[in-house]
Amino acid sequence: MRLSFKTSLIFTIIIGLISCGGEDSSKDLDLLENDNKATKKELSVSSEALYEVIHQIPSPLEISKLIEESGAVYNEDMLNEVDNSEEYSNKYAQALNLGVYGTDLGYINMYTSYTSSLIFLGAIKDLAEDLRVSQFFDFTTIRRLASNSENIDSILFISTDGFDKMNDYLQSEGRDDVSILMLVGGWLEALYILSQVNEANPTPELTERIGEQKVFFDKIVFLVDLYKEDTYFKNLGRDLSQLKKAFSGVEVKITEGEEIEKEVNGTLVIESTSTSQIIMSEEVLAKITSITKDIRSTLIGTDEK
Amino acid sequence: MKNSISLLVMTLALVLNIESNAQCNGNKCVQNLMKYTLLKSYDINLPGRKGQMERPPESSFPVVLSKGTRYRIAGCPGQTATPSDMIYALYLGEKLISTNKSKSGKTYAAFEFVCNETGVYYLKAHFAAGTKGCGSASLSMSK
Repeated sequence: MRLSFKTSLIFTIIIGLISCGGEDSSKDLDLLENDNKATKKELSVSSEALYEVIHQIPSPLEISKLIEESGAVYNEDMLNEVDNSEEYSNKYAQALNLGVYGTDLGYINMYTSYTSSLIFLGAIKDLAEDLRVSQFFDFTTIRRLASNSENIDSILFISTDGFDKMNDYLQSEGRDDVSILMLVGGWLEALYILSQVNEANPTPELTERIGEQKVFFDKIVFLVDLYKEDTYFKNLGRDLSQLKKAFSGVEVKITEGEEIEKEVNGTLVIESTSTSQIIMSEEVLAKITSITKDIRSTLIGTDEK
Repeated sequence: MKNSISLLVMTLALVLNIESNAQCNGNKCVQNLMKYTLLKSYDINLPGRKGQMERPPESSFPVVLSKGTRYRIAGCPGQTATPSDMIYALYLGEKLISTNKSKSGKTYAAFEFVCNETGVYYLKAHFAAGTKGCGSASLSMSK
């Protein structure tokens, strides 16, 4: 029997992995198993329902794109300081700020600021390693791609895909608390950046996107509430309740319409005439901006971490 | 010797598994990156329809779409399926927005959606006639 080159190659790699993986791998697995036992808790919802809610939170990348398109100047001072990453010593702060840095990285990449991208990537790598999820983030490839400005799309995709894989893995391992905190951190940072940019240079599109977050805020609260027995989540829920009051002043008006189908240059294009409209006063907007800033400041702060 | 044979059997099983998965999983549905920014790729792996089931097996993924954004939803059937085998659709709640098959019956490899209502939509996929199949789908936003 002759083995093909591909088969032989895979065979060799597997043998190599079996013989070299050895002791360290089994130690890692033991650590992981112990951690799962410590963190896994019975939730009041099924894993399918949890998956559903988790995927109903908007991608921070879209918000970054909107900000970039608004003509706002790149402002790195808004982002979480990279040095803070060394101070996050428990899994809660690590997970939440991994989400924060993930959103920051998306913002940086939208403005193709590669030097900063590499620096923030370092913080993400450290926190991902602390949480033992760094295997899902291809740091080497991103670093290589970052040397060429034409690779922005690949960087964005690998980064987003890495975070998705981390989340899927955490959920499959029953580490939903870590996954939820990453998600909350990412969402809150996106809202923070959005509201800060809008405060400096308001546009109707940015303002509307802030108000729209009301649609997703209840899901964020729902996720945090799942772990309310845990002190960290309880405090986080308390902080978010202030934001809930502010969002209660936002009205989302839906007008039902039909879908119009047409073919444009060989592509099927569907345009919906259904619309959503945000009705929100200046006061409410100012409250959301201010409370988001306060909560975010508490969460990224390095005191008592 | 016994150990070597066991290892060889195990390895071949893994190789076969890898090659089988390579037809579907791991092949991200990444297309047209010059015009679009890829937001997410979804793996689809569906069993065949069982007996007289009314509906073919379907994958469903919640996606958040925002007003003012033009999205592209694309499907990439596995190696054993043709583009017309995989039907994917966008729903807002229970309301069907569109599928990759137009009202005239023409099947497209992708469709664009101009969103004017922010909300949680669902990307659903199935194989025509409820056959077993795999592949991937992707959600991108226009640049």
